[in-house]
Formats: sequence, structure tokens, C-alpha cells
Amino acid sequence: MSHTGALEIKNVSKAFGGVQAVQDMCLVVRPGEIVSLIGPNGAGKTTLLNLISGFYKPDSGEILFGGKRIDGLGPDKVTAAGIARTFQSLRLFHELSVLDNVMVAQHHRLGVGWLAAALGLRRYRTRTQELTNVALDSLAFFGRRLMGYRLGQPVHVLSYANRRRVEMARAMSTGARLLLLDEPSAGMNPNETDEIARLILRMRDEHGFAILVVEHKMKLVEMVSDRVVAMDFGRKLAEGSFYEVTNDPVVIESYLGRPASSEGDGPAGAGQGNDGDDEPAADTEGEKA
Amino acid sequence: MRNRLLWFISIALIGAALLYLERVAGGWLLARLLSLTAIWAVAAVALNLTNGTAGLPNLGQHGFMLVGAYVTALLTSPKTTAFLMAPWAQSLNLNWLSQSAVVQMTVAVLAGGLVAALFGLAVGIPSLRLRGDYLAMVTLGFGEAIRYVSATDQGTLLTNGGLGIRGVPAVFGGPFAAYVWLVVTLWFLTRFTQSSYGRALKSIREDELAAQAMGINIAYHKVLAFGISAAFAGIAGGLYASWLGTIDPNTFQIFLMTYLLVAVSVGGAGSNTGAVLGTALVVLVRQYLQPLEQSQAPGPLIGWAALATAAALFLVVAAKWRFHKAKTANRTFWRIGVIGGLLAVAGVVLVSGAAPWPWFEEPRSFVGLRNLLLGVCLLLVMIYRPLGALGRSEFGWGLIFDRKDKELSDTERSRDAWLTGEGAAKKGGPEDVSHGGA
Repeated sequence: MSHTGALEIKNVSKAFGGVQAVQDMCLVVRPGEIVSLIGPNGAGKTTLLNLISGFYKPDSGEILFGGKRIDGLGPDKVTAAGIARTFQSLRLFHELSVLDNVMVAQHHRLGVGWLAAALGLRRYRTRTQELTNVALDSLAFFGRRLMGYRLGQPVHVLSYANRRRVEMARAMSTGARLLLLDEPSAGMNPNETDEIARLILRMRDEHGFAILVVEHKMKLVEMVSDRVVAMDFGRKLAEGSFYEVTNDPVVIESYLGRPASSEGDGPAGAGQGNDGDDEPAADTEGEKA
Repeated sequence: MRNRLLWFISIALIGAALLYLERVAGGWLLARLLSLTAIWAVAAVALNLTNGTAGLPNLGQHGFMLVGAYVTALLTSPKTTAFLMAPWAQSLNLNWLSQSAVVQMTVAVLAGGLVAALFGLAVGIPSLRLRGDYLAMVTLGFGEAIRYVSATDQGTLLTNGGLGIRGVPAVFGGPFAAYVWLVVTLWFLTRFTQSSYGRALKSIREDELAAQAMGINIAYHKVLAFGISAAFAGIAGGLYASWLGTIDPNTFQIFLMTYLLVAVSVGGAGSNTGAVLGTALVVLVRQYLQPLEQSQAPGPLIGWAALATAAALFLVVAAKWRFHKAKTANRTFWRIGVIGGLLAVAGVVLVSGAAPWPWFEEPRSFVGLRNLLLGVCLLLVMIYRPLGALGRSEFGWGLIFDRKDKELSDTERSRDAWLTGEGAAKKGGPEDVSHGGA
């Protein structure tokens, strides 16, 4: 394809037993673009993220990044290829310090052997200094709250919001060009959600990341998205600007269910009715985390 | 800088003390014990790399020690009594390299480490897909299997079977030489643990999935940790062979592994200096509590144990009473107090010999009592301080002097959370608006 550094998902399918989690999905994320992935719970959004980041291997289809196939590579190779992710339920290294958490993310591009590292040779020291500066940069991106004495604190003493920030800093410092953010504002209050939205925009504007966000909070989706993709039952329902997608009758139906008067039993209607509100499927899942 | 200076001074002092002990004072038993501590500590610190830092439960350290010990013994011993060995194995030696016993032993010990590392890779590569208990079983199986293999007909061609290999030069029997190896091991493994690779291993311990998502090649790092650990276990095995002078398969029974495990667990999971302290505890308990296992009347022994337990219980009650916020004597306090009192009475009766039953008077020996005590020790540590005495921190001058600067107290932390607004949302206070976006 013509895009260098773009993520291309071509006809990807993934089934777990009899459940078709992702079905014939196509998606492109271009460099410097923020794409949001929305859909009701169980729509296959996180599965898609796991497919991209290498935790699952697609049953069929291809995933390309920068023109190279990355499906079936394994998570560490995918990260080295330039795609980093955050997790819906935080997965930090709880006993490691804030700085160490971010330094771990750079280990894969250390490029110095273990013996040289243990002996503390000069090339290891200079390389570590470089990587520490990168780590400090990505932590400083979040203002002063992760800097100073907090650098040495173990992550488990941090507040929830700060842990979210550390996880984002960790993903940023892997050297990736594309970030996959799985519900970055889960469990955050409205002010913090606003801040996360501004951070996502700044990540793109200041660091040039392409970003794929899975999110339930429509306000955040509206603020950040260049493009929105709606999914349900593993399929793409709609794609376009925020207003196009949120006004698409198929999308509304998948979130709110069909009007009682309408006939027929489309797959999207059943069982989704309770979730509906003007902010569809509010982050109940995130609150638990 | 100050810490570094203090370290140099303390290492110099310890070195001087060891040299004095070895050359001048001639405290034979103490010197032996100190060098045994150093040798086992090498293996314990190595075990710490897999079990503590990387979180891989490795129970095969005694197997790797066996490999290292046999390689060292084969390369250095004169093999005058090697009736069962194959001729080519009998002719193995390092005389072609140098006539100096020290050089020969050093090379042999390093070779033992290398071969043990190869064994580590051979065990590690296929089994590191396994998690937790399964890995523990496989490594334990290796440790036991290699001992049996070394005693089979084929193994005997190399190991001289149950007769063992005799006359391994006692170059590293003295405390000074043993401590040089311990210092080298501590230096290398601490550096490694604190390097980027050690950090990667810790991240694997904390969350394997997340570590993988951060680009860390899990399999490579696990095998690396396993190989390095096995290498140092092999070195420890070589030193142990030199300390013992004679080795046979039964030297490397599962008890050895248990001692190392107790040392690491009690000292601190992930703390190298803690492992050394734990090893010292194990060696001292084994040596100085030996009289407990000699034939004696059980009455006074049980009596003293009851008195010691009662004293410990009273101490706990007193401490709870002193530091407990609500000064109400709840039921548990009373219960512990009553149990302690009964134990104390029973102890006094037994110690004074006033117990009427003859069972308490007849002398008998309690074989294995020391191991039982070590087991109780491990049990208590696991219940009350699961990470061990030192936890994950290293013992050092920094631990004594710098603690206050590095760690905030809880009050400071909560005040800070309030000031920066992070605690606000939780407490329902003013919203965090002051520094959005930053």
C-alpha cells in the first residue's frame, strides 16, 4: 500500500470456539491519525486490539504495519515493530518504581548484551543514559505529577489516575509509532477524562503518534477522533466522522435496540436495550477496575 | 560517596578479619563454618536470581551444584581410589595447564560453572514454557534425577559411583578464598539484577503478559536467568567439593536444596545480601544446635521449648498491648495469655524434673530437630513476612542511614496526595482542576 507506517487490517477474523469475536474486519490507521473504536460491550473491540498487538493470532486475514505483516509475530515482536498498547485493566509492574516501569518498556531497544550490562561497560552506561532521558521525557509529558520523588516510588502507592498516566508513559517510551489505548479513561472522573482527551491530542500533536483508542465515553471520542469506527458482533457497523457514525441508524440500533414497533429480529437488537442512554454503555466496566 | 567509602572500609575490615582467622588465630571450626557459609551463599545468591528476581521457582539448584562439583573434582583430584571410573575419566586433569594448585582449581571451578550452565540451558529451554508449580516440579525432578544418574552403572564411569571422588585439593576450603568468590558473585549478580536485564526479569515476575507487551522476549530472559543461576550454582558446587575434599552423589541430596531455599526465603526474596544472611542462619543453626539432637532426657528439652514459646507469646501480647490503639483486652489477648501461662507452668515443671512420667526421664535422641526448627522458621517467616527479613531491599549502609530520605511516611504521602489534588476525588473534596493538561 501507499501508506508508509500505516496500520492496515485486512479481512481479519477470529473465533473462540463457536463465538465469532471478530469477523472480516478491515481498518486502516494512518500516521498521525486518531481513530476511535466504539461499540457495545462484547463487540470485539478488545479482541481486535489483542489481535493487533500479537496476543492472538488471527484465524484469517492479514495485519500489516508499515507494509510488513505483523500478524502472528507475538507481542514482543509487535512492540519492537512499533506498536505499543495500554491495558483496559491496568497492568503495571507494581513493585517496580515509576521510572523502572518506563525503563522496562525500553529494554527491547537497549542493544547491549547482558554481560556488557552486568559489567557496566561504557556503551551500556551511555545507552542507559540515553534511554533514561527518553523515559524522563515521556514522564514529564504528564506534568510534574510523575516527576521528582515519585520517580522512585513503587507504582502500587500511586493514585489510580497516576497509574493510568504511568501506563501511558510506558507505552509512549517503547519507541512505538502507533499507540493502542484500551479505554484510557476507564474509572476516571469527568475532569480527568477531559485531561486524558487533551493528553491524547497532545500525544499526536507533540510526538506524532498515530493512535487507536477503544473507548466508551462518547465525550472523549468526540473530542479526540479524526475518525470513528463502530463495531458490533465482531463486524464493522459504520466508519466516518463522529457525527456521521453516532447518527447512523445501524449504530444507534446496536446501542439502543430497535423501537418496539419494528418487526423482525435483527442480531443487533436483542439484549442491548438496557445499556442505552445518550452516553451509550457508560463505563460500568471501567469503574470496577 | 559516603556509602561507597563505608562499604570499602567494611569490606576491608571483613577481609582482614578473615585473613587473620585463616592465618593466625586458627579457630578451625569457626573458619570452616565461615567458609561453608560463603560457599552455600554463592549458591543461595544464584538461586535468588531465579526464585526472587525473576520469580521462576527453581528447585534444582542442588543438581547444578552436583554437576559443578563433579567437573571440578574430575579435573583436579588425583583419583587414586577411582576403581569404578572409566580410564579416560581417570586421566582427566589440569596438570598440562599449570602446576599451581590454585590456578588448577580456579580453572576447574570455572569449568564446573560453565558445564552447569549448559545443563541449566538444557533443562531451562524446554521447561520454561511451564509456569509456577510445574516449573518447580521439573527442576526438582532434574535435581533428583541427576543424582541417581550419577550413581547408575553408566554414570559411575564418570563419577566413581557411591565411592565418590576423593582428594579434591582444599584450595578453597579456607574462609578467605571462599569469600573472594562470594564477593565476586555478589558483585556480578547484584550488578546484573540492577541492570536493564534485571529490570526486565523483575517485570516478568510482576506481570508476564505486560512485560511481553512492552517488547520483552520472555523466553530469552527466562533462559538467561536460568543459565546464569545454574552457572553460579556450579561454581558453588566446585567450591563445596574443595571444602569437603570428598564428594559422592549423596552429598547433593534434596536437603541441600532445602537449606538454600530456607536461606533465600528467610533472608528476603530478591535480596542478595538477605540470601547471605539467611545462609549464615542456616549454617549456624545446623552447627550450634547440634547438641539438641544428641541423646538426652526429653523433659528439660521440651520444658525449655515451652518456656521459650511462652516468653515469645507474652512478648507479642505485651507489644500488642503497648502499641494497640484501642486498649481493650479482647478475647484473643486473654486466650494467648492463658495459653502462655499454661506453657510457662508446664515448662517450669518439666525443666525442674518434677514431671511424674518416666517418658520424660529416659534419654533419647531427636534426629532431625534442627531441620524441624528451620522448617518452623520458614513457616513463621512465610506467615508474618512473606517477602523475607530484608524483603526486596539490600542490606547496606543506605538501609541504616538513608531510609528516611527515600521513603515518605504515610502522613506525608496522604498530605501530598491532598496537595496535588489526587486524593480529592476520592474524598469528595474540591475537584482536581488546578493542573489539568499541565
